[in-house]
Amino acid sequence: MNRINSDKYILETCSRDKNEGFRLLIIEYREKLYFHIRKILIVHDDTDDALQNTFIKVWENLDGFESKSSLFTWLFRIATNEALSLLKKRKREQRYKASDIESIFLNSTESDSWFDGDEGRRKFMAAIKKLPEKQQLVFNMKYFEQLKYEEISEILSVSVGSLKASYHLARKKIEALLKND
Amino acid sequence: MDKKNKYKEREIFRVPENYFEELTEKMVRMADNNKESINPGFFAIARPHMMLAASMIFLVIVSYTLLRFILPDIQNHQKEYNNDNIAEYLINEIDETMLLESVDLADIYTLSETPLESDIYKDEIIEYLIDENIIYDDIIENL
Repeated sequence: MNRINSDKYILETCSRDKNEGFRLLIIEYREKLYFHIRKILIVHDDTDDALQNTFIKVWENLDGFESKSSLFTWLFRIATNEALSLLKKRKREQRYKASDIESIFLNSTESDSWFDGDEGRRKFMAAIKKLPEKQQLVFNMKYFEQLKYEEISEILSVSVGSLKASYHLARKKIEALLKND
Repeated sequence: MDKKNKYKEREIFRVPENYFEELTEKMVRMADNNKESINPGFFAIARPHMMLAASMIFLVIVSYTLLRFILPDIQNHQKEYNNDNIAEYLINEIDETMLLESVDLADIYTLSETPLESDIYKDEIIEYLIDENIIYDDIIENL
């Protein structure tokens, strides 16, 4: 079943039985939203908090969802907002510094319970975390989550032209950072 | 490699074992509990009304208490202005000559030259009796 059909099925189930529809929605989107949030917050516990808040908001507002946007973009928008709010909070509490995050990536070993992948991939992730917040978001959504510019535009409420420019800049910066490393 | 595998292949983060299953159970439980709270009991429904009623009662009690404090002062003032006090005040405080000076005498003369309403009324009665040829003594006798 493709995404449009599965979203349609979830919404139809919600209108018949909200709890069952909500369960299907979680099963369909839990991993996509988790990894989207995790790339913003890095730490699992924070990601878990933001993801739970996302699903609580979804549950609370599911009745009012009018299909003006797709279910997919609506969920990603809520998840992105929740992740960015928590990130802002952590920065205020001085619990999140770019240098700390970089060292988490670079000092972690292959047996680390947080990260998978080789040294090259950790350096790659550390380079992404050096980008400005908006460029990080756009790069992650385009490169890892392979979303279309139109979808990212709807989620972040930014024009497609601006997104293309952000992604291009982000790629150039990452290339430069990895070359200098 | 299809799109989904490519996506997973690129993922770097690890997740605790059974995390997604446990999260789903937790969220579904939350939704179930929330559903129960959607059908609240009598007290949950009546709570806002009870709160409103309680605040109204509180307001009435506060107003009554305040009035109890203020009213004795008013009653004391009323006692001060009894008849004796008013008479004493009129004798001692009001200057009669000043009152007379303040009255315009021209108005008094004008008033005295104008016939009173009762006089006009008497004339009309007499005229009526003459016109109808009614004798005053007859009326007295019939009474």
